[in-house]
Amino acid sequence: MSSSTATSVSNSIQEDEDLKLFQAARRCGRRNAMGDFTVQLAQSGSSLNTPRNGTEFDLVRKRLQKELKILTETPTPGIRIVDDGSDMRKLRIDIDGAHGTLYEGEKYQLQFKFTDQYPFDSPQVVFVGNNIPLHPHIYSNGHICLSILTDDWSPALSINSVCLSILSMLSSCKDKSRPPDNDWYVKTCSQDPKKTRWWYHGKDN
Amino acid sequence: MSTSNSETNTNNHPDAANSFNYSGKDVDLDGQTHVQQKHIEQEVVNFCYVCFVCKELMKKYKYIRKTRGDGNCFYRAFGFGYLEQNLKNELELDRFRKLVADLKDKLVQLGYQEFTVEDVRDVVLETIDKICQGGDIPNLMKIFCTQEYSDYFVAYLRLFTSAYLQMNAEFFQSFLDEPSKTIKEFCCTEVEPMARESDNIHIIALAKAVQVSLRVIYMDHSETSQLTIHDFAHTDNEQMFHPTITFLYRPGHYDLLYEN
Repeated sequence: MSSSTATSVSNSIQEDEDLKLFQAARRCGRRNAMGDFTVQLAQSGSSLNTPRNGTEFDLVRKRLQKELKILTETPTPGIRIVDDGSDMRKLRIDIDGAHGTLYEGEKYQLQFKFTDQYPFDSPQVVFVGNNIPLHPHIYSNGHICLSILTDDWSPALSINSVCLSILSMLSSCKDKSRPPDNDWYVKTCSQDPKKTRWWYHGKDN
Repeated sequence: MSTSNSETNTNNHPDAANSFNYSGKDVDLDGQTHVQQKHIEQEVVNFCYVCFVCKELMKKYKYIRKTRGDGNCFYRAFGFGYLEQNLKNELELDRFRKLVADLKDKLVQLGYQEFTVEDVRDVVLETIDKICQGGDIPNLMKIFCTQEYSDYFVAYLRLFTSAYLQMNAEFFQSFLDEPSKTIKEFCCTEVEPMARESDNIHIIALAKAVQVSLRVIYMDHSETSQLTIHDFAHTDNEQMFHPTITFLYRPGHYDLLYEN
């Protein structure tokens, strides 16, 4: 008797979760459309209002050059640049699962993309390749639910600190599994994870 | 008892629902008029309040400078207002430049990555130099309207605020709305990310960190018989209070005010 009550309770929670996911996806759909529009507006606005004098690009390039130099000269163990730096707006980085965690011995690849607004605008970061870590905050298409990649990004963060946050997210994981809404998210999401309206829960992400 | 009464009433008038519907239009009209009247009354009150505040403001302040409403307004207004006041004051600008330079080491001690902080600092120092070279307000305007320079300045003022909060974490902890958050978490989510709005806690911290006295005049209905003024002194000696920068606050936004 008591067990059947428990099942019905857990069912109702699942329905509740389902509804929440559905509503979130609807919200996210609308937000996505808005997001695209705002970007377009911002782009046309900036090209109209501010004559491009090259400062912007120079500052982004200078910043990225510095970051790459440090990543190659004093690398953090478990974080390696793959690219030769020919296309600075796109970068691939290999990371190794840390010792003593569920991901020990595994190798993954991250792809970073930077806009003209970097470091004010966060980089777009996704897992790429055949091996996408099984983790409750990482979707099978490589998208990562991590607050510093959107809402909590700040110019004081860097490529290295993003990699470290992702490694620490993997290390604190106790159960290797996909997010509960994985299939649906992967079917409905935008290619750009920054256009997803994430909700962040818990201190882990 | 009251429940049973209402039941009897409904039973006694089987067409009560209909008659209610019929007269419903009239009642609605009355209701709408009433709502509209309330609305107008509220607007009159608001308008009177705005008139009152404007009249009071105009006694003391000559100009207002509007800042961009992008969530960074407090910092941008602070940066612009401060540099504008001190354009010709070499001594003060040297002091500020030294603070800017020294903040990097404090941030590194707090665990920040040296080169990201250095990156922001260098651009801010470059910006200050450019402003000094130009030496006039049109040049300052031009630099502050150049998104990259302006944003780097905002980012560094956010770091000033964050570092001061973290170095005085024990004191500021009790100010947090969410007591379960640590000051470090608060800084990572509410201070350092661009476009996060500023509250009293940010203003207190920045005034103390940069050692500049600020005045904020609030236009948010908290007081109707006089202007609501908050002074943020950079020292504890309040007798000598004179603000370098005065802000006008309307919910969600800060602009600059200029005294007569």
